[in-house]
Amino acid sequence: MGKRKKRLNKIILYIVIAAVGVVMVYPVIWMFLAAFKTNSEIFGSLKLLPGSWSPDAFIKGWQGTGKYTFGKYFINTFLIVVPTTLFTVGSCALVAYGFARFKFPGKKFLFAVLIATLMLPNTVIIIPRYTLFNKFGWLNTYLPFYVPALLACFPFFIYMLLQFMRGIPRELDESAYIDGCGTFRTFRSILFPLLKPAMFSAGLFQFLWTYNDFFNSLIYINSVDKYPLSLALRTAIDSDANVQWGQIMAMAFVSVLPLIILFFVAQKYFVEGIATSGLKG
Amino acid sequence: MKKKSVMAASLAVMLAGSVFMGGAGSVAKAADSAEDKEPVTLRFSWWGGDERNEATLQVIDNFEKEYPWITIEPEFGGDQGYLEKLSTSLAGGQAADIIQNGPGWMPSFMSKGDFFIDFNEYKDNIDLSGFSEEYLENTCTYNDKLVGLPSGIGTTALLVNKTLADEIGLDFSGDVTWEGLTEMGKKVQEYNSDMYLLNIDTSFLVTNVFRPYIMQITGTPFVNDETKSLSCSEEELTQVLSYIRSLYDDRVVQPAGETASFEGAPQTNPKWINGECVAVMTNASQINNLTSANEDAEYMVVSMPEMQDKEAQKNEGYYANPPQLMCVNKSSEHIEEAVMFLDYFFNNEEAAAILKDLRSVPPTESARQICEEKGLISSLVTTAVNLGLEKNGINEMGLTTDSEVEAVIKTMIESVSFGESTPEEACESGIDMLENILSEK
Amino acid sequence: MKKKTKVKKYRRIDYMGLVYIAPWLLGFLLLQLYPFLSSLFYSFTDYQFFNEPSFVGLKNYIKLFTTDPEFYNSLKVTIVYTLYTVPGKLMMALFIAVLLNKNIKRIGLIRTIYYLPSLFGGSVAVAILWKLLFMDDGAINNILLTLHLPKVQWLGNSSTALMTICLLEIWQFGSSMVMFLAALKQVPASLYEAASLDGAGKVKSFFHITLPQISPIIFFNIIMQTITALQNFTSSFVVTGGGPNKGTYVLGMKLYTDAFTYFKMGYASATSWVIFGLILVVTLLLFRFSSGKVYYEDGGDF
Repeated sequence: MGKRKKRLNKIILYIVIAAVGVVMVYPVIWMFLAAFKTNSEIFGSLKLLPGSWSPDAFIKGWQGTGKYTFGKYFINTFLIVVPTTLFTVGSCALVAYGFARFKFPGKKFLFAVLIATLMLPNTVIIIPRYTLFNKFGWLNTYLPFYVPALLACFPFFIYMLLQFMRGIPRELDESAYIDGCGTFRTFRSILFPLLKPAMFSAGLFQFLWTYNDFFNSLIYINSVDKYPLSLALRTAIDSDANVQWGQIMAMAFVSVLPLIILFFVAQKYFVEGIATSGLKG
Repeated sequence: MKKKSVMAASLAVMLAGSVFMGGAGSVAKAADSAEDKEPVTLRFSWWGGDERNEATLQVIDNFEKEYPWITIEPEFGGDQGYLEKLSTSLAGGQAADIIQNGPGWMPSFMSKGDFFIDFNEYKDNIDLSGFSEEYLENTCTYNDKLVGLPSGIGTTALLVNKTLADEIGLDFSGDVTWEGLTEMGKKVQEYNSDMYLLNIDTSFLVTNVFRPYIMQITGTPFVNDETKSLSCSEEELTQVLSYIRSLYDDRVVQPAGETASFEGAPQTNPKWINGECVAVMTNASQINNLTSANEDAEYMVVSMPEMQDKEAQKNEGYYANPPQLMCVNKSSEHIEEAVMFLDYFFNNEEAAAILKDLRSVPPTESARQICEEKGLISSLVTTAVNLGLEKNGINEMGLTTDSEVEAVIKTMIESVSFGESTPEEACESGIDMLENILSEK
Repeated sequence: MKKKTKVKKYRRIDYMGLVYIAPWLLGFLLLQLYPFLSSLFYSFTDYQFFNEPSFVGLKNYIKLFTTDPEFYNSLKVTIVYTLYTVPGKLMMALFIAVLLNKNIKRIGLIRTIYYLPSLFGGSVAVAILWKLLFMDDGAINNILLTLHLPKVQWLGNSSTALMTICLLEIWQFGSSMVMFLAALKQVPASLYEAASLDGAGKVKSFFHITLPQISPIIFFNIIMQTITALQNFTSSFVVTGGGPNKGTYVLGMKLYTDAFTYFKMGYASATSWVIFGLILVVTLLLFRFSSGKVYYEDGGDF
């Protein structure tokens, strides 16, 4: 009796899981299939599958209008995202090292400040930052992305790496320190290899967030030849002309494809990253 | 460990892939310039649809062939968000050298700073004789400075899907009046309750119904730029809003809830594409976009609506205005070259034939002739412009077209069109907001 | 036992630490503290970006709270948005996490599928997709029609449009789910066994064991999600443009429009401080409310 009920429970469980799963992926699948559809198929047609499987929308969408192809926007996106990610991870790891292993006057206070900035909402600093970058002549360059990354303005990642470092026994690096290594060499040769998984997680998240970021690109980047994907897509739907939704969906799909691939390849790190950073909070 | 290297490899492939694919565009640029000239690079920003973009790029290509030491980097996109980009880049000193500008935005730019050159100072580099002096004076001159050149002659007109109008039995042969629109709208609804007379959303109601209507009953633009106050009374404002409300109540226009998702782009309205809307009020420069959205139908252009009671009407409410202005950035390092490009853009025969009517009917005599000879301008656009040129409305570019004022007008229209407030309520809170805004100008 | 080795400890006080945190210190002073203070200053000035800020006292705040009807609308929309999305997202995440915290085959794949939407965050691609899916003749309404349900004007009136945007946010519950899942795994099985010996049912042990045990992580999520929700911008901006009839005109969008369309930087700064104040109050209330309700295993001292 109990066994049968258990089985029934299990079946219901699987049905619920599958049903929610369909809801979760349906929009993404729809986006992919819409790339093959005409406008009239997208609106007012019930069929999920397109009438024909011509890749025209991908080709035409990729070419964009005239001078710049989506390839250009991809390069721009990576020009923003890759350095930003590397800078963030590097600088945050060093700062975390400073907090985790050294005692210096004012440390408690500074750490409290760091934690406080975790809660600092972005909206409140956007406007002065914008005017500041304007004074520096950094508008329409990628410096507004690079410099905050170099200066470790992401307390979340510092905190995440710090927590991880606290889990590494002090003896390990202290024994290196005894051999007369400088602190930086100690960090490089002992801590850095151990920190790699955590840095990788932090890097993945920074990659993801910068890749998806719209607001900063919107206010800092003006000229089309510097547009990242987000702005290019936004421009495509604002076009004066008759919007070919198939092409836009094709490019939207292509633009999220790197994320999907990245996620499938590095799934473990994503999950670990979220789980650990969240738990320690 | 293994996973990580796979990860790294896939990242590398992605990067390489995008570099490879994107590289194609920039390789072609062989920047060998003429012997004795320093190479010059200019940036040109504009908004437009595909056709306009392609034609403009073609003109740029031709220009570069003729002036090989000048390279022009195009920057183009949609019209929405263009103003924000332009303002931020002007403020930050990052704006393009050659700028397509909205005539309605000019007054506000002019009050904020000195951003654009006076073309009168560069007459050696550009031939302005093709433009009508009066038109330049009326539409592009501020404080005696010619800060822009009109991209074309633009007017608003009513574009009618003739096929559908005939099917329903609507008669557009006489003068169209506001009251007549309501009657026609009811007829359309009787014919098929899924169809509407007008393809219009709340932001086009501002420019194509609200402002002309106000001008017709008051004879002046909505805001008086001198006194920085509203030029109409509360009753007059309520009257317009009531009329707009009645358009929704009588289902003359498609419900605001349906048009919200393609606001600002009537050519993407499925009802228009499927031939379920009879007419659209549009600027002449947009006619080609609208007709190509549904090529199965036959179209005609008629005059915009006016008051039935001609006695009550102070003026006709419509006027010719450039759809865009072409400006040159004052802080550009190569002003002369930028002006030279505009000279080519406006006066070169080949350029005229390429640009056709994509920014409405060309502004210069010579370009108009070329286009007419070659039959490059659609008769719809010509009719629209000719009808519009006869109207005696007053140019209202100024505080009336200020983006904050426009936003309040839109708020009033939305609150009546969604039925959330009565015209009286909307009028009252709108006046409050407008007085606040105007007091700070 | 481990042999006690004589290691040279890091010096008791080592100024090298300051060198390592120097980038952050500089970044903090220049890109966080300075903007923070100057936005406070700007909020008391008339600053149009093209001119120098001039002090106007409380005028901006007075205008916000007394004469700007848009402000109350935006405040309302933002609060409603937060009240829908935060509980919606977290309940969904918790529900799924509890479901998945069983011996399920192919858990990896399932987790991946559930996490997928969260990958896209506030990306424009997904915002466009949403707009298209929920248009009047879009895919969602077509599905409703096949099921013989009435069409819904998802983007066509102010309250449904707000719901549509909330759905986009709730759809992305993945990262909270992963955190909950990890937390659930940490709950000692012995607690459940003891409870079941005492005759407690599943529901009872969920409320008496599971919830208290993972309360710190729930609390953390509530705080972080609330802070994010109060600052929402992209989905309103791309999907609905703040409309219809300002129904999705969240404070974040008002801030953007005031600052970057009208260049009223001083006024927008005042708005940003109101958002900040709102976040502060909500966070403090949450802390106050949670004291005694959230269970910590360690003091977490440092």
